[in-house]
Amino acid sequence: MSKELLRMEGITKVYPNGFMASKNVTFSVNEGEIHALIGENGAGKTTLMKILFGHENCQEGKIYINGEETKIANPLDAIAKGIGMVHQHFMQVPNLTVAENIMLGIEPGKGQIFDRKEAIRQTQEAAEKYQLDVDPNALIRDLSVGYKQKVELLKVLIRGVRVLILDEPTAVLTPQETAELFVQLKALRDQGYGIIFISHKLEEVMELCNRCTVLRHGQVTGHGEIKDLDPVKLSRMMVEKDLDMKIDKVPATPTKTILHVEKLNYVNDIGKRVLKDVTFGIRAGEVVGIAGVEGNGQTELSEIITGLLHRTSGQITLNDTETDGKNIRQIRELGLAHISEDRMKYGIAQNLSIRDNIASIYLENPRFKKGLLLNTKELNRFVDQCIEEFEIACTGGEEAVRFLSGGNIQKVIIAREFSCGANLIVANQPTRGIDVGTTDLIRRLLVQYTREKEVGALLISSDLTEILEVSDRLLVMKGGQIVAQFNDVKSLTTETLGEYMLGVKSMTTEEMGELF
Amino acid sequence: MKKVERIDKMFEFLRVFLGIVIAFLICIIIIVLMSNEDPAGAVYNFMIGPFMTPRRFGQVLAKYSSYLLAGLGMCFIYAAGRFNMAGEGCINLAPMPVLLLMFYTDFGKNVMIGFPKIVNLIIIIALCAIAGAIILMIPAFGREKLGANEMVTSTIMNYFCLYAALWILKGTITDRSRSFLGTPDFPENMRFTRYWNGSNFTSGIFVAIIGCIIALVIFYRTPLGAKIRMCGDNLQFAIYSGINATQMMFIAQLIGGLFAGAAAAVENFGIYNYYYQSLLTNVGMDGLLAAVMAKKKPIFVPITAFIMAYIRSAANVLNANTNIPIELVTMLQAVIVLFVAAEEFLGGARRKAIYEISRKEEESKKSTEVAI
Amino acid sequence: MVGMVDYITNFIYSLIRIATPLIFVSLGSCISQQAGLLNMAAEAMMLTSSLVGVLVSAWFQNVWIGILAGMFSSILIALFLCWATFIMKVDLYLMSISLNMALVGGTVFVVWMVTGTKNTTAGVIQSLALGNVDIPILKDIPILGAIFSGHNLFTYISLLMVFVVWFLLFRTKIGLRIRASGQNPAAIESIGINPRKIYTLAFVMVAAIGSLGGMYLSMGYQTFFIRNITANRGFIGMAAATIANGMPVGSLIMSLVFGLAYAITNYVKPYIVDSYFLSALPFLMIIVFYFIMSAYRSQEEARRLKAARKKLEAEQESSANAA
Repeated sequence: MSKELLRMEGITKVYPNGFMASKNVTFSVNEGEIHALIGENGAGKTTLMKILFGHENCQEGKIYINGEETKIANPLDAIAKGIGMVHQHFMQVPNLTVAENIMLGIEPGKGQIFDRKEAIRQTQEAAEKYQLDVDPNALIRDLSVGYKQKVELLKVLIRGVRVLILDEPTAVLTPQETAELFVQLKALRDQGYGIIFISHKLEEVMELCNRCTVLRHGQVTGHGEIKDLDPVKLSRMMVEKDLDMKIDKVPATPTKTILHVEKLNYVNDIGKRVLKDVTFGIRAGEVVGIAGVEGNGQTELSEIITGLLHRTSGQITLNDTETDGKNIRQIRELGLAHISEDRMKYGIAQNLSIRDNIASIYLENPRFKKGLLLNTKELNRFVDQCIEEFEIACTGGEEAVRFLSGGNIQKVIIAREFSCGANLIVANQPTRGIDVGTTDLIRRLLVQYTREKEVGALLISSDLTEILEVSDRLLVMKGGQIVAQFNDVKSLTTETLGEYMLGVKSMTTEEMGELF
Repeated sequence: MKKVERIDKMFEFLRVFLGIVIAFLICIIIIVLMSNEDPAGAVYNFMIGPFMTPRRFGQVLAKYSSYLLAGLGMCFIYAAGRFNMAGEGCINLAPMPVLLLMFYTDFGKNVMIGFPKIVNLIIIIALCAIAGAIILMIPAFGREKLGANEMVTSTIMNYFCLYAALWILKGTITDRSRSFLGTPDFPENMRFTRYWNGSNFTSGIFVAIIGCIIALVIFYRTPLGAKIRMCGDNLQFAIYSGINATQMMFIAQLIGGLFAGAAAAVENFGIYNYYYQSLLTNVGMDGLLAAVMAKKKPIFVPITAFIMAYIRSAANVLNANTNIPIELVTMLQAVIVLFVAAEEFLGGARRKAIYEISRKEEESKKSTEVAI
Repeated sequence: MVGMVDYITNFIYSLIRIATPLIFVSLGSCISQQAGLLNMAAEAMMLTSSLVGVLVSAWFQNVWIGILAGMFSSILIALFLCWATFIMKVDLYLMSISLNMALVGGTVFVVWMVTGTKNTTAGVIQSLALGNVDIPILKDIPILGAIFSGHNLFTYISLLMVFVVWFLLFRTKIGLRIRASGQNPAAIESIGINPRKIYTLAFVMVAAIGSLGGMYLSMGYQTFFIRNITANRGFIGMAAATIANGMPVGSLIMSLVFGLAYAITNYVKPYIVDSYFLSALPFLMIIVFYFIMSAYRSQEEARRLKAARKKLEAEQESSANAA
């Protein structure tokens, strides 16, 4: 067996808010192997790597490098000890050349003088050595994502590291670029590097890696040699077992179509096609769930439906009106409510009061206007009613939102969006990182509103239990496409769903049936 | 939760309060060190002087009128997250249309002179406000449509305004009988009435009070004000809520311009008998400081604007009665800004206090749990 | 005819003379511009250094000690600014603006303390200044000699500075780091360097170069300090660097263009009535230039993105077709 480069033993990390991100995790990388670290979002992969790279410290556990116990204080220290990280968002300077980016911080030259020629020479030398073909004189801003990744790899390698951490490197790549990256990574492996490959794409793990460790809720739920594993086994390790259904719901009786999405395409800023001919519909009286590993187009889909992002092509009709060319206010007026996945970025204004946060979408509503003025009395009554109805724990409507807990902040958003009388609710990760009580409330409300108020709901969630529990109809997204539809959600298990999400299985158009 | 909020608010207040107190202390120490004859008298003049005679207090109130209007205007801009400082140049340039109308047209010379005072004053304020709004729209346009930093444009604009005003003044309406550039005296029914025996305290104060009420109503009681607040606090949130953010940025700066223009009217047609500004007045900048001290909340501007007016007048009194120059006060302002705007001033104590509170709450929670 | 040539050479000579302080400030501001920050405190730095230079040179009767002290005082202002911004967390620009206001008054206050008058040190303080320098050979060439020779030593230093700043930004390690932290501080942080340190270092350099502009005014152009001696040249220099997008040669050109406006004003003033229009002209020009450049740049970025997207789409399509 080859030499062990790195070993993390019994790592336990508790965040100050009491969240246990890692529980007694043990993990190791050998010379000349690619070790996959897989798990869903929030499983603790990132935390583990942050500890390894010196961004965070842990309460318990030891790190061994080449068999010797060490402490890693900061990223600089990590690099010095031979650990390098390729971040998912590249740490590059757009207006500098490739050589300058690579040599940043370790610039060659006498004294303060930066020796450009030497930098270019060293870059070229390294490029040849690692078979990463780059042009040292090109400007970063002119390069494609795949190219940038090569630069990022080189930047790490040139610092003499032996262990490489790649954080979801393929998330931003096209299939061709991915294939190219794999060739390069295999070459590096053969040169004796230890590579940690973080991913949740099983086919990639199967193709590329030697060993794999699966994390779930901060714990190792499985590890072993890839040759002894198959995608089905892996996906079962990743997704949790079925939990008991907690919500009593009457079967849905869908009526008219509220939202219809037809052949929706989206090409993002860097030219990647994120949505491919997405077609589906939502009817009044049903909750449609979209399951899928994160980064498969769900975020873009919800942002395009809600008007935050502009589509490349395709039609979206909301209550029989085409939304193209309409601004967010007009789309909202057509009957849309939106719970965004990024609560702090989109959902609230931290320093403003609960009242202002609730009022934000009602400012043009005649009910709250008295001539040119706001009808403060009516508004206050409405806010108080919201606080009472949604059980927001606060000292009153004037309290600034930043003093609330996460769950109560989400309740403010829910109160605002659910009370606006919209008949389409788009809820993207509505319960992520939220306490049990609020989570339960949000799920119950989604079901209740669809049953009682002729509302259609789109639920996007990475919490499989939630999506199985709440949805009446379930779609699975992968690679920007809808790859499966389940009309009978009750009989579906997380294992089966996981297999579709991870691409172990897929459906033909006929199997999916009518998407409405 | 409530306790944390209270602590937070207390520290916000403490920062502003201590900042002002420290700045004053520094000032007093310097005054004592500087004045060799009568330190006590100098300190007395500085601290109490502005309140001693109606004339001096009139000066405070006169400055207060301008600062209140300018401060409220800057508050709108600052609250929307922009840093458009063209309000400073506004004070010089915005009165020009009125002055031209007043002294250069037959309408002004023959017709307006016969209008009742109130009508003339309304014309003056309206024209100044519109001119102010136009001036502030230039940096705003550069920022929102072209991506030019409004800070750079507005700083440069201020000097442009100064010289453009002088250019217009010299070319058209200057009174050649004076030894310096200045218009003829304002006709009595085209200026704000002086109170208290011809002190600088004028009916401009009513404009300031009305303006203040309008500003507060707009900011706190209209959909527009709410939208501006939302854009300033979290632009992404405003966009997500369906608010047209670019439009709001323009409107916030437009309102700022209207108020700066009104401040120009009150300043020029109140304190002075004729227009002869040959330098920037600092009214716009002091207004900005009042807005900063008020922490983007117009409700506090009436207080902070008064502090600014008091400081300025105190310096004037000091200047007139001792040999210590007025410039001392500009340094005082920098000290105030340093403490008031420093998030880390008292930051450690604040974090400690909040930590203590949450720890105690945890403990009390635990003890009740045990009791159960 | 000869008179005309003399007139023009004189004019160009005075243009360079007038542009000198702008060149210094805009070059300094280039460095902060490259670090992604505006040098709003240029006025404060210049005012301080021009007064301290005068006072210390008079005190020690040594012009070089005066210049060093002036530079040092300017650096202290920059360090204070960085302390307030990066440690006390005051808004950088708010602090810069209040520093400018404070030092317009503060310098007058010091002048009053030292001399008892509130306007100027002229006639009271025997300060030293740098003299004019004739350049051998060049001074004998007609026209060129009259234009380029016989300038103040500061002027030659300012022209040299164009090269120095360019070299600093584009040929040294610290320059590379400054440019990197201006564009993506996260990149700098990921390799273990604190971008705030880079910013502070940049501001120290800004202050050192800007201070020369301030001292030129009181120890070259004039030989005394007078209240508000900088007369908003700091802002103009900052705007020049902003318009030139932080490029040293561009800043030099912009400084000369704005200097030209000043020179025209000086030359034409005696002949025409509308001298205030000419005073307003440089500022109008700055705004117009700045708007044009901003419009151009914002469109350039959009064009570049569009082209890149098209190219990538085409590539993807072709590779998809091939597959």
